[in-house]
Amino acid sequence: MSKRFKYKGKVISLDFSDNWKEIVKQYFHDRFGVPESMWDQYKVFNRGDELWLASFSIVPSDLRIVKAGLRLLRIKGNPKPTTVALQWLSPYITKNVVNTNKETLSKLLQGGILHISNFPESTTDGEKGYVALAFQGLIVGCGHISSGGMVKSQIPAGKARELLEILARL
Amino acid sequence: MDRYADIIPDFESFKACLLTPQPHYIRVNTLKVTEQEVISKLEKLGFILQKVSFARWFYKVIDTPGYSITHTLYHWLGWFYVQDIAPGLVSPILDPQEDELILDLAAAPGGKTTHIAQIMKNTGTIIANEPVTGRLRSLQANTHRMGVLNTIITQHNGIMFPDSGPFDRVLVDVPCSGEGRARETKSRRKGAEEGFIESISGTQKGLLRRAIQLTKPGGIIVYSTCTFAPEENEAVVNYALQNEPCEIVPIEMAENIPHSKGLIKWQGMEFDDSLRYTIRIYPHQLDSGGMYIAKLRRL
Repeated sequence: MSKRFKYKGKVISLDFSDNWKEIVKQYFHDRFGVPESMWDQYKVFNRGDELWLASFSIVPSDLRIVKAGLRLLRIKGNPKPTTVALQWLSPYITKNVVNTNKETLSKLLQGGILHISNFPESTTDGEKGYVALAFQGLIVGCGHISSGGMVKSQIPAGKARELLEILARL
Repeated sequence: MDRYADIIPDFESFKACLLTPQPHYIRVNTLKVTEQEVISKLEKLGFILQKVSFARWFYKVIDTPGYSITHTLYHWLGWFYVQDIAPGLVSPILDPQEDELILDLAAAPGGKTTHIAQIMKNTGTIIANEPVTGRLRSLQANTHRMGVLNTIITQHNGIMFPDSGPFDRVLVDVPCSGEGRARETKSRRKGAEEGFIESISGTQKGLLRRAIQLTKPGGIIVYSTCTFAPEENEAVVNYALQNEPCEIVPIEMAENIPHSKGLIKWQGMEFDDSLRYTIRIYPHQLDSGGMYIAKLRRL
């Protein structure tokens, strides 16, 4: 199913085909252990190089849409999950979780790169790819492990600054 | 504010209340967590919270550990929304049902939109419209933070919102002179300039008329402001009753929620008798900001 909209004066289309949902199902299951059944009640659509999640049931036509749903995954090159998607999936994520503490998370948020050995009790084998950064048992955003086992934060700069201020009060 | 001395009950208490800081209220976001989860986490941090008996999911912040509740990990994660209790009554009065098509005609920053999404359990569709580019960012950020998935954000001049829908329910929370926010902003304590009130009421009338036109017959429209000026409240709704096919739906408030009825006359103007079934909330009644709410049915 594809729907056409006007956006900033141009006609665009949101592609709701089942193929996109399959990509999302498989990616989050394989990488983060998210059960495939949890996507059943949602729609996934493609816009540019991104896959978005939504639950709206009707899309009225002739509207100038600014945003719809929640950005899940960038699919150009290796799939990259968004911080907001991993937060939303927090209760379902069972693997490739890097557990941080105040000190290690602060370093990552300031642009630091730390070896995976600094994160005991993490549920990852250190394999290269994107991970979920957790703090106090809650997923706070996206991170990345390089082939050398180095962990880096992928949380957007603005959100990282806000989180750093919160950590400073703890 | 003195021009309201005859219509606001216990006017001295009202004026005294405006000089006191407005408490914070939070609405727990059950799209992401349970009430018990978030309250126990916040209490562990040292926040003292009191459940609001008449408003589902709302808690009053009684005391803090020395910093704002917005500076917590749980706020950052979208586990709750800081929302005053007076505007917190608006979305339940709209009474959105699961799977309905809803329009929020002037949606930023998104407090009422996210509340509607929560009531609908992320089902159906909400069109959250905001004409002002600078205000779109807060609307987008809040819907994202709160995990709202059933909402499409659009940017149109509300008065000329395209023919779409028709909608089951429309919320029109209009731009207003904001007198009800006098506890937050010192400059508002004197009341709004009458010239501004007059000019903004034209926009409000246009928005409410468009909201009614976009609603399906039998559908519901809720009109709200955060101001006391009758020219922006009853006079606007009265104008809509005269110019669009609609009627007032009485707002049923529980006995234990202090509030006032809508006016049926003001400074020589007479309004439709049914406007007594709209509601006014004054800061000293609920220890909140001020609010006016009218509920209408499209005929």
